[in-house]
Amino acid sequence: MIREGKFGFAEGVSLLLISNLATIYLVEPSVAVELGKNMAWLMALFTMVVMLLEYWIIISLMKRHQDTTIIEASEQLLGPYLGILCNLLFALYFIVEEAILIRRYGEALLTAALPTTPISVIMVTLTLAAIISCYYGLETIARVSRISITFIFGGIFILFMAVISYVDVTNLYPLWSVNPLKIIAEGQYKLIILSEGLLAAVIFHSFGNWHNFRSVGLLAISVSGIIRTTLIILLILALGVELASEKVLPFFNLSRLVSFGRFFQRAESVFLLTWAMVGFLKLSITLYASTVILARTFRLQDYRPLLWAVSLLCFSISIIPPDVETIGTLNLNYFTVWGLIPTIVLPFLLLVVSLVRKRERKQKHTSEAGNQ
Amino acid sequence: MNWWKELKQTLTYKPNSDREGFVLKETPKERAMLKKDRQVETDQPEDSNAAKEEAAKPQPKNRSRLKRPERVTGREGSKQKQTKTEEKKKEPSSAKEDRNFGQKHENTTTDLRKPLKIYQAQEDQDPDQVSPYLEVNQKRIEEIYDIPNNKDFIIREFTIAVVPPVKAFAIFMEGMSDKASINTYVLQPLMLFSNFQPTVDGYLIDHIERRVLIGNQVNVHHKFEQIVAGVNFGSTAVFVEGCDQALLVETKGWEHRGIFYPVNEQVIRGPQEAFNETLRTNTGLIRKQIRSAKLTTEMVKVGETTHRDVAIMYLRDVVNPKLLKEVKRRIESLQVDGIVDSGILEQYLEERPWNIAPQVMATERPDRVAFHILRGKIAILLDGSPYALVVPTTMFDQLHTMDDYFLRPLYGTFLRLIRTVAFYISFLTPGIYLSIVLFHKEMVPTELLLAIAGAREKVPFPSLVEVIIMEVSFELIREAGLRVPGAVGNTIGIVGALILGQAAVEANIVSPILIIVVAVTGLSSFAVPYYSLQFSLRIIRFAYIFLGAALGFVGIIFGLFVQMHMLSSLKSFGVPYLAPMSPTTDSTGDVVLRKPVFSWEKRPDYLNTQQEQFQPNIARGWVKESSKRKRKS
Amino acid sequence: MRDKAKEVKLWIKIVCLLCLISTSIGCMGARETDQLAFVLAIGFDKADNNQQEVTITIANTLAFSSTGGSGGQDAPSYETVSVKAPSAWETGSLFNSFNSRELAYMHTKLFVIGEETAKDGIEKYLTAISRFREARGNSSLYICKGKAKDFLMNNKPVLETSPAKQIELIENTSKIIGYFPVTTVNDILKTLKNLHSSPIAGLVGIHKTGEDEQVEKLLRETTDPLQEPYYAGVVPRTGGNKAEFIGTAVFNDDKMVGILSGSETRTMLLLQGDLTSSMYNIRDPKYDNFNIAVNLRQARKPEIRINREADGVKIEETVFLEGEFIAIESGEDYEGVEAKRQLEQTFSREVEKQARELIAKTKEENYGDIFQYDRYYRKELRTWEEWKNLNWKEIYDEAEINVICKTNIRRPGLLRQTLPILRTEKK
Repeated sequence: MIREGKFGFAEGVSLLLISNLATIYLVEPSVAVELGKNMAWLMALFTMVVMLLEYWIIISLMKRHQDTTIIEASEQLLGPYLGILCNLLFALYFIVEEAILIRRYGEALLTAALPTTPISVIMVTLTLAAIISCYYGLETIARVSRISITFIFGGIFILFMAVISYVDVTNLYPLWSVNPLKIIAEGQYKLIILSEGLLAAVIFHSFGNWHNFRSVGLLAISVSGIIRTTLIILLILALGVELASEKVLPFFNLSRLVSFGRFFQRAESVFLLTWAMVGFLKLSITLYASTVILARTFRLQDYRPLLWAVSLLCFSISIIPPDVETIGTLNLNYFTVWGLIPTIVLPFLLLVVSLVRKRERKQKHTSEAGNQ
Repeated sequence: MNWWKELKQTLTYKPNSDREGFVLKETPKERAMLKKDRQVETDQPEDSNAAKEEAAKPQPKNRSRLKRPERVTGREGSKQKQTKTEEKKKEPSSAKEDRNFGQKHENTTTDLRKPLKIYQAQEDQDPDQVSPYLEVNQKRIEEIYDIPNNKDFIIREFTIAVVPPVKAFAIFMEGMSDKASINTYVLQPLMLFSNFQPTVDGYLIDHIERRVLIGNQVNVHHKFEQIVAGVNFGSTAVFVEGCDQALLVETKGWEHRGIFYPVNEQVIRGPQEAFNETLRTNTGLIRKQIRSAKLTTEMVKVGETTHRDVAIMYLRDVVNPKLLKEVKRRIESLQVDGIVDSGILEQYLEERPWNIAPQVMATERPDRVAFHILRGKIAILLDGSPYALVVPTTMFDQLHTMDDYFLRPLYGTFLRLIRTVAFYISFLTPGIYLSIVLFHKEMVPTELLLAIAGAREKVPFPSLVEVIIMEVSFELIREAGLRVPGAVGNTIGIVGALILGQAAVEANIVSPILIIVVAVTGLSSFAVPYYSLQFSLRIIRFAYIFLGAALGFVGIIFGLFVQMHMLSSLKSFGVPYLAPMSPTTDSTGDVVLRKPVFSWEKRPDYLNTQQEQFQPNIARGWVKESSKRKRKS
Repeated sequence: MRDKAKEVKLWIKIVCLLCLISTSIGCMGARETDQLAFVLAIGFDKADNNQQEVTITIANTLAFSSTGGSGGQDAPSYETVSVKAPSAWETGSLFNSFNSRELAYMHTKLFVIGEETAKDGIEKYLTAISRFREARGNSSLYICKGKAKDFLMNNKPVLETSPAKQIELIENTSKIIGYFPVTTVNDILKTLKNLHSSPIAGLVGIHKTGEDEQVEKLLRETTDPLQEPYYAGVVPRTGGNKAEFIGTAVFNDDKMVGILSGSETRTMLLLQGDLTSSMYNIRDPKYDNFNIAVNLRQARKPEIRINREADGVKIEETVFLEGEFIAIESGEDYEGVEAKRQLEQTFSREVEKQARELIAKTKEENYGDIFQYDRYYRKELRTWEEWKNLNWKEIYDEAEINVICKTNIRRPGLLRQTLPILRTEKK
């Protein structure tokens, strides 16, 4: 139906990794530090484990439906009406994520690099990039991820190395300072949302086979979890808990610290290159996911005609919130909480239905056998 | 209107109908009749046919041996006779069929008609076939080449000194044929030495081919198409009276360049020879590098008018058959009037003409072609073009030079890293300069920023205009330096750049920092080895200038993002353009860095070659041996 | 035909899109370098009537152009102006009433806050600086003895063309001598927000020719060469740039409470572990009228041990110094192993004495912990709340702080030993 092309292991990992890394450049690490104080790094590890578990749900679901994507699987399991509803929820999730991300990345770029440029211009640029990218198709997006991951890793590595000279180890004390359960109840659950599982299930065919799908996702999530943990540790060590929780763009603030001698200072714009790239890619991946879910749900031949409509929708939604704070609150208090439904609850439900169905079938089979 | 046609032909061409007034083949009418006859009487016994033929054949012996068409003695010359003479000329294999003809005609003697006039003969003559009548042939040749007007083609009429003498003519092209060899190998033997043999054995044409002509390549052709193709390529065609075939003697010889240094792809270390404009020399140069029976050269003719040879060279036990099929399919499917250079051929072969990146690699170095053929690629050589096309190609191939391979791995890696830097500088620097100056002023050290600002203080233009002025004038110098005639060309480029730059700075039109930016960019773009890639970077540079001026680094990233998509969606003959990197495939570490030669164990994975192994895992046999020796002792 | 129509449609789409983009982008937000005035240094002062006075130093870019031409080099390379307004941020707008260009703070290297202002609290400046995108957290922030306006107006670097470079270079000397701490906005913010200890800032000032009495007094008091009682503004000297960088301003929370002299600063840096190297002069233990000069650097970070005991906290700090001889005036052979060890012992005692004096001073003058010992105290704590509600100043004031110095003079310089000259007057 929709020709998505295939990609190999490296491209798959890069794609999911970049998608998962996208939020570390925004306010999330700061929120994490605010929540977890100097235990935030441990909570980041915890988040990683939770994400792996979430992905495991998707893996077990897709293991039972290896010849379809999650879109067809949900229709098979829930029937046509419920299935379509479920798929529309998936699509809605990605559309809202895209809208929120366009705005957040737009605001981030504006704050960090282009203070006097109108926000709409930056958002148009971001949307346009996403459309162009989706027009080329998933295979190309994956390849571009593979190319840019080199530079992104390079940027992260250089930043981490450069920040080491500002590290003050005593910032990490007192160790075990906060009750983890309390943190989770207070708001850590806002940071465990994982859209990559759903994304990977939507583009399941492109991974080639289920084993590839499994290892790609697990590796990508682990690597990004490690990077996120390292970043949070460095934030705590270099800025201290209080300063780190004040920041709007902690990664950017960290890169403002970097200086090698008198010449190479104030290099945050160089790091801007890497994180803007991640933003562009994340936006195009999300736009792709939302259009392709719609196209698959309605059994269209091609997702491309939907691109304009969906991106326009996302753009219009994203321009509605009046200020940065609103979008931040929307994101943290509503999106990341309600987003758990399509990313965890629904796949889990599907898994359960799938298990029950199978048992039913088995029972039917055995009862039929018994009757005979 | 038939009468008018007849009249016109009679007026325009007046052959001696006494001698030539017979036809060789049946008219369409007769042909139809024949067909009918054949259907009716297919079961006639052969023997009786033969007997009848013998009876109806009162011909002089020696003439029949010469296989010359008989002269028609009178108007009564029967149709039967003609068919028989014709039949005798035919090769023995088709004798049976011919006999049938004769037999048929015998049966239709009642329907005798007048022999055809010469113009009728001409009319009935299949224009593609060589006629036994010299004059018909000559007429046909004159028609094909528009001879009295077309001065390049020369018809030399002469008589072959056999007994009895036979008229003949030779046609050759002035300019592409070697006069000396025509004189020595065509005219001299035919006119002088052909009477060495007292008698002529067998067919005259065979005799001439076997015993008279001493050229090294002599072919016999029926069809004008082949003959014309040969003559167009410098051969000499000899038409002999009474033979419906012509001899094509290879007398190619034209002025051409010798093998010269590579001009555009120079290396310090390595062979110093380049292709020239002769296809055969070029294939020879490649064969000189790969002396293998497995190296196949296929020839395809391209161009309805130009008829140029295209050679496809590959190692047949290595190359991916699908790739080969695709290359041949593309070349053979070309329906063009003419292809003048491999540059045009390249454009016909590539799949995305509007994509900025070149999808075929052209090189003038035989060693480079050989290297790529060894790795499983295919070389396409067009006759008359000193560049070979290598397909498929990746961006990394285009960024490599042979120096990288010929030098030791560390040196090669160093060269490549330098070139990587140059690659990025050549399209990003002006854009980045603009985005720094306009948006990210905090990036540069304070002193440098103040210097830049100070230098810009007296410049009346915005920096975007300044950069564009400078870039355009640099491109102008580049283009003009190339086009300036003669020896001043090189100097005018440098002098122009120096003077222009100096004057522009003194006139406060541009700032001196910008001169550095533009000069470094220009230099770097020259460091990119492949000319087409250079071009793509030069053009992209302007896009980055605008993006950088509009949105700073965000614009640059936008540009990089789109450019990456353009490049990674691109394929060259099925191979992704950024192949060993994305999609990530196994490589021998020969992408950005260069591993030592002995670790090139595999051919590039993306080519899917038949033989994956390039060399055994231990290519240096002595390493194994010496370690063995150590173990023993 | 349909294909052609499609193609035309596509082109129309593309052209429309391009028009849209070009109209919407159109170089917005780009600022040419000649639209901007680059502010190199800012000074904040309190004026009468609750007014704020802000002084800025703007680079004159023309002076930096190398393109010869008319009078570029003759122009002064920077210009200092000041404006009064009820709010410090209002002054930014007032500057443009007489300044032709938009002010750009992206290359501001130096923030100077006047003494009076600093005593009222500096937090409002710090948060504003860290909120403002153009201003940099790693720019230096110094407290000026006197008025910041005077400092910026009178600061005329002799060797450098711009104050920016002057600041960068003079901060390098801090690493060599250690008489003033290099404090960036980030550093102060970090101490202020993350820690309970007292922030410090470098002290700068203008050499005052009028206050000779104080200089005289200090000169008279100075007998020990290890002591350097000078602070910015009172260094006994003649000539040179009027700006001086020496000493430290000490804060309680964000309010300035006192200053430390040059040698006190050095001791403070040593105890903090931030001293890179310094030249120490001590009186020769054997000859009273001769001095010994050694160039020492901090061999490694100090070891700090904190013990919580029933009667209070005990802090034990060991600092390590190592270096080489610069001068031995007396000609005594201190290069020998035994003599050197004795000298090192004496020297260590002197440093420890200085440290004790400084710690005593901080407790006496109610400065609070300027050595950031609370960083190490964190390890003793259990929960975040405990740390948040820690009353560190009290603990510090009651703590018993013990400093041990370990000196190792590793190299004698180029001389292996000192031999006495052959004197004509024998003793």
